Amino acid sequence: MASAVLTYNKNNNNLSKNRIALKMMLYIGMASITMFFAVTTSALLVKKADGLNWAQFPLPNIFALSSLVAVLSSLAFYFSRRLYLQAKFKAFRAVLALSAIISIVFLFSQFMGFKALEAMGLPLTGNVSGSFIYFLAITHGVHIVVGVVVVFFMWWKSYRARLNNAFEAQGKLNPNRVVALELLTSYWHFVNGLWLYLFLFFYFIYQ
Amino acid sequence: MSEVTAHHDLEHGAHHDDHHESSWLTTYIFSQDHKMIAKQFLVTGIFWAFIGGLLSLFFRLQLAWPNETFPILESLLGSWAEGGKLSNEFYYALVTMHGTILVFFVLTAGLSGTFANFLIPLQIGARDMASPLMNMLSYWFFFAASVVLFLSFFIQTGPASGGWTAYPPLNGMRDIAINKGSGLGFDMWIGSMTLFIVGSTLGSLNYVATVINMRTKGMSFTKMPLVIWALMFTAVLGILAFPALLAACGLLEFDRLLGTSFYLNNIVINGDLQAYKGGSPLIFQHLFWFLGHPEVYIIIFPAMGIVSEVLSVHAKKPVFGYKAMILSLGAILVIGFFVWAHHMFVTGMSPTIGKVFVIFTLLIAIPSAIKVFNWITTIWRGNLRFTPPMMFAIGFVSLFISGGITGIHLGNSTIDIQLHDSYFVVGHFHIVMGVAAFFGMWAGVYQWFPKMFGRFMNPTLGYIHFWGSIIGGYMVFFPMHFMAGVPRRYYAFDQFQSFNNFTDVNVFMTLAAFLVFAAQIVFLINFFYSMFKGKEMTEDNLNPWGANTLEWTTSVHPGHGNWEGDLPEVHRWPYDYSTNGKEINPQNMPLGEGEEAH
Repeated sequence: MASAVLTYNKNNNNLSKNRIALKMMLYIGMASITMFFAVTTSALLVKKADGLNWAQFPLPNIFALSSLVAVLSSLAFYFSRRLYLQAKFKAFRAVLALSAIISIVFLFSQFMGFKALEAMGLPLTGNVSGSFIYFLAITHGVHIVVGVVVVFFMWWKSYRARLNNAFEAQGKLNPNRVVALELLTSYWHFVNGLWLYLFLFFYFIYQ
Repeated sequence: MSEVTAHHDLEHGAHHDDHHESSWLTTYIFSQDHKMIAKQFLVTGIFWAFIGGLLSLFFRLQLAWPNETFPILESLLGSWAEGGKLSNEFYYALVTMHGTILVFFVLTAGLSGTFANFLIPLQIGARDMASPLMNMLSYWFFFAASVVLFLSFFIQTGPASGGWTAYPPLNGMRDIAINKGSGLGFDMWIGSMTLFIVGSTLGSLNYVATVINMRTKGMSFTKMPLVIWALMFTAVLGILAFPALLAACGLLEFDRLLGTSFYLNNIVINGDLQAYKGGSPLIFQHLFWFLGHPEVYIIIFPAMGIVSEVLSVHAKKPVFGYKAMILSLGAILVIGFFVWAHHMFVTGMSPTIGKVFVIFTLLIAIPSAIKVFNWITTIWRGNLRFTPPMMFAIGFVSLFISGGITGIHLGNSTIDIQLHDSYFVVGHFHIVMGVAAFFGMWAGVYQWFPKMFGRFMNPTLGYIHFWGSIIGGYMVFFPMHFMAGVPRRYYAFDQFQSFNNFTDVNVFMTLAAFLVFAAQIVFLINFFYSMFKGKEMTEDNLNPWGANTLEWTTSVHPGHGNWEGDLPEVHRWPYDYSTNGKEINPQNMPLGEGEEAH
């Protein structure tokens, strides 16, 4: 199978110009999100450096499990896109839903991580060092929730297409969906990768 | 390989000339046409400028006549001005909201929102933005932010009053017993800022992606008008800097609503030690100013771009040092991210770190000076036409020099420590990023009003607006430099004998503020009257200022898609003035025989 990778068409074609522009918007948006987490983790480092009332503690193991779940979610999404490009739409929808469900499991594992922190005497309102984990995990979780909502929306649109006898029902790829999937794949891997960064950051900072 | 076929939605740009069916609602309210969205930003910005200016008149009355009563204030503000005198709490709410409104809603959204939306597609030869839908959403997020902030004036505890910089610990606790404005009003401030940042980011993503990807044939980067460079760099600044404010606000709201201690430590209120422990308010300052200083360039870059354009068009001379202008903007963009702590010299910062920030701050003077030099040399011996946009552009250069020079003083930590939080600082930043940015904005409004509305503004009223604004603006803010020892943010200076010398100056500045406001009323009348009754543009005079850029090649009232038929092709740079034996050489005019491109 040759993937429907979108490339710039030098013939001044508005279709490919728009696609390239949309991809660029997503990547620049990711840069903006990266800045959010970069400045917040920098704030954590500055706070730690002042040495005032800073608790060191082992990171609960559940966060390591979260990282594994994030990797699984990305893998599932990767396969769902492959299935779509191979025009295996039923399998695509199943794996797409699976990747969203795995992300919901990820969110649940984060919640369990919060419970573990509480059990260690580090509630949200406790030591600032612990509060940073809550803040970063929650704001990261918001990005996951946005992704999950979009994935379910895409699933619904694809499911509806079957009923409406649109592209997929005729065995064709929907070009809008191809672009949307490409963009969403990038976002999905990005937010999962972001968690891996946060996990490693926490792991080394709190040792 | 599975075939990917063209689809209507993705070819949105290519089909504008098909004239979609559109209703009144989708044409004027939920429009996805960049030109209408620009007008929405402009009108909303003007509304907020009026409100922000009015608030400043209220607190200037208090500063000039702290013991007088003004019954009209009670009529307008109710219990906030009982007996015709502003309450001290509402005084602080007024200055807080004045700063917030002017910095974010007027000089960020109103300025770059208007001109990025209007000019980018028209000047690069695109049908619309890369994502018209996201463009529309960027306005409506801004509108929602506006509604939330506006409503905060009408709640019982009043709007936020802890300063536009929102510093903790004052703003870190939801305790209206200490400060009414730290209650719901401040939560609404944070909510409004969050919506604003989302809207601003959506817009900025679009501006950058559009400039890079949607340029018409022949429009290379070095053929782009300087205003487009400026607007693109503004967007880059916003994309990278606003997340810091979002993070700062997020942590602050966690402290306020959930009881964390990111910014709070050992707070004692009325003798009671609060539960907050271990936080540091300095973290907020770092985060805030990481946005706060680039924000200065977010405000001034569009004005710089507009002024570069207007000076060249009305002097009928090529911009002097085109590439140096672009490199200067780029240098300011990069260095601008390494100067934030010059706002924090008095926080106990290590002198060594302070020196680093001093050096970077003073370095910014170099590209800024290059720009000023190039503006002056652009108009030097030019064929100047003193139209209203040209007057405002020249006024901008004057103000940028006047306000910029005092930036050199304040960038130096040894001087800044003496002048910190004094009226010298207020005078400096109001001239360089307040009044100057407004002058850039007005230059742009007068310049592109005919393209926006198909009519001209009245030039006589434009000149009255200009002279009232420049004379009044200097009268308000120049004397503040002589008040270098007077602290800002005081409610009543007559309570301090040492400041009695400045009573008359305060009266003078307040009267000047009324003059400036009166000039803005003239502008408002001119703007709205001209929109409906101004002299009409005609199809045989589509380029009234004699400019080279592409927007003037469209019809009087271009539809969604901008050009009927094919997009124009670009053959030359935008500043081919008074060359080739002709006063103007539009960008879409092919090169003559033997003629070389710039």
